[in-house]
Amino acid sequence: MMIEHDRIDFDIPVLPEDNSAICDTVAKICADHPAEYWRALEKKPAGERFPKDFMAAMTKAGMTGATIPEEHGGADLTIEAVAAIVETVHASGANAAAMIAQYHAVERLLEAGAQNRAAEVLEAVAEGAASLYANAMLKGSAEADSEQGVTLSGTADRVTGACASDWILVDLPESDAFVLAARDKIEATPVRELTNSDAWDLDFDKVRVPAGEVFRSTNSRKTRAANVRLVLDAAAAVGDGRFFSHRGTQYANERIVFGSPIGSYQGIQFPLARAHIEVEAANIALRRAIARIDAGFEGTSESLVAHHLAVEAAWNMADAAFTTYGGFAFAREYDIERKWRDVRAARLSALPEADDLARIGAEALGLVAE
Amino acid sequence: MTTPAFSIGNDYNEYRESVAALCADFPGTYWRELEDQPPSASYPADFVQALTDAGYLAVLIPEEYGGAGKPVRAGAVILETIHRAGCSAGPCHAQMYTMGTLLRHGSEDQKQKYLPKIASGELRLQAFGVTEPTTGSDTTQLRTRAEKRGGGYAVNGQKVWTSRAAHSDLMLLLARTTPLDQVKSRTDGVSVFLVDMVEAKKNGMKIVPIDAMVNHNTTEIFFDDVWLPEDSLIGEEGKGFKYILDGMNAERCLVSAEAIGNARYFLDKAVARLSDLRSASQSRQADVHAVSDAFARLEAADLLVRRAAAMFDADMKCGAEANMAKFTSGEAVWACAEACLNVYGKDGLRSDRDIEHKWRDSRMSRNSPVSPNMILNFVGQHVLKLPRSY
Repeated sequence: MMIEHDRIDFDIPVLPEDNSAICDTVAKICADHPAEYWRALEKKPAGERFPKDFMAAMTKAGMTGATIPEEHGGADLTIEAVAAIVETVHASGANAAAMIAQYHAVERLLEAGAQNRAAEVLEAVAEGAASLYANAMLKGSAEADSEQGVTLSGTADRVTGACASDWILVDLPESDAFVLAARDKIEATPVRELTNSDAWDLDFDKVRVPAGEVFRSTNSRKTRAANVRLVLDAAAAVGDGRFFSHRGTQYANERIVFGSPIGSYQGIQFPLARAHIEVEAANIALRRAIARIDAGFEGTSESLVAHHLAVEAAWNMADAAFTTYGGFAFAREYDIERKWRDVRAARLSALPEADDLARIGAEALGLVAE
Repeated sequence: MTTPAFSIGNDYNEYRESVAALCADFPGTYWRELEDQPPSASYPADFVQALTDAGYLAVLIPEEYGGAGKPVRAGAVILETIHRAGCSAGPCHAQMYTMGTLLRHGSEDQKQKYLPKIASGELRLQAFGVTEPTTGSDTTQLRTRAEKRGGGYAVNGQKVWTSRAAHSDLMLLLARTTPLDQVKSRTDGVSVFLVDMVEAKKNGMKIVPIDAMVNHNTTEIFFDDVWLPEDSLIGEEGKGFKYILDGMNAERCLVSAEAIGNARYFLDKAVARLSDLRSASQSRQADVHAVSDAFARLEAADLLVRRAAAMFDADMKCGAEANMAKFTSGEAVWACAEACLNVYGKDGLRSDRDIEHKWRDSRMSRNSPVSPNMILNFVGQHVLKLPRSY
């Protein structure tokens, strides 16, 4: 018996919309923030590593609140459109991590629907007046008070974009509640990492969140938010795959060793070709997942499949390109090692149970977890 | 023909224990703080001095020149131990073996002049100028020229990936003394020089640090009419390519041992972490299998390294064995690095977990000092007798 999610609905268009105008605008902003910009950020002291200028330009162009519905002042773009934005950013060599975090946070707030101040915050984000770049998992306690506010005590590790964000979306332990905590109320210590993730360890020392910023998840939207996150991360990975496919083949055609371009040797050529095929397959799986989400389906299985294929394909493409560049892959000025590190990080999950394989096994295949 | 016997256990235990004790004074914080510095200030000078003072970098120099006169296997154990202990010998391992070319092909005068001071650390021979921007694998195509002039040679050209050049008093330099179009065989016409870096820097040699993903203090070197005295030539003019080849097998064994050390480091950490996690939640079987798989590969690679070193130390031809040891140790350390990073998950990205630094270092084990594809080409052509594929 075929598992329901594996059906491909050919009546849902899997051909992407024409988002070329949006992608052109995005590509121009990326061209204004070339490789040197991203390289320089890594060298900055903690607190200055966030791509502030890049995000300001994206916000000004209306890209960062793009999925917010018109009723809250947004452009009401489809997930297909923002996936195209994210893929374009990554294919150019830039990084859309903060944009993805905000798209995900918006989905979480849309979850909360008409609760409390959700609508106001969404409008502020749509206007570009407020940012939601950070999502923290609280380890500790959240005590409710008589005014429906919540006081947070505890810590959260490795929260990316925390210090550049006006609000931090905090998931409360053992609860389907989440809050928006104002950044300036939280102690933050910078975390040095493999990549320029601008990560911070947060300390919540009796941080009070008023009722307006306390929300409860509804199950279906929590799932949608999670799947949107998966497909946007997958879109970023497909973009990374394009970046490395292009760079790897370019160098393989230019570099002459023993009288021939190295791309003519199967030892270099086949790994590039194999990875390229994987990126293509991931892209098709991604288009299918996005089509289902935009058509109003949950799309969990499709999203997991697309995400797993995409992050693995991006890695194989990045590593094949890395090998192709030989020693030069290690030189920062070639911009291979920086994105290669990013792509590796994207394959790691925060929790073992969040791992794609674990979820596909348990949720799509119904295999009983140990 | 049989391989000479080699140990499968903890050989040279006295080195394993004493080196580990020295390394305990240079914990993770020491290496992390160095990485935060700009390239010019990121050299682990204190660590290198400690190794020098303890004589570890002089183990391969014969006793008559002030070294310990030990076989390559001893050097390999020292380097492996350094890496397993969480330290890195990359910034100074060349001091152990670059002198080999001088030892095997230099004149007695040259050996007496330099080897004792290299053994004591008074002179650092940490740099080897071979690779150029346009020649990596295809060494014989190198373009740096050394032309006879005024009782010596004038050098013009460029080297890249010359690690530790800014921390070395001497450099072994490979340059063409006879242009390619004037030699019968392309391996002829290349010469080896022992360059006095202090002098050369005053006379047209420029060292530029390269900002790279791995901290080996690597550089580009520009030679603008740098004059070298006649006695800086090692051995015969034009025969240099053969001279450096025999040193490469020693280097393969030693650098492979570093990879083995890193692989053991990763396994130690992965096993410790998994032991903690397993008691907390699920059995993590996928991770258990990945770590065990990596361990099996590590053990296999370790045996190949031991075999190659034993053959080298018995003066046997060991090009294939040394290169296969290099190839398999590179793949094995990468498997261990990946398994460890996956066990840690996103937490492993943090520099303060002391995983990601060696993980980056391990990517280099798959790539240098020789291209893995070139090793496969070599094995295919010279061991398996398949037609040359390039």
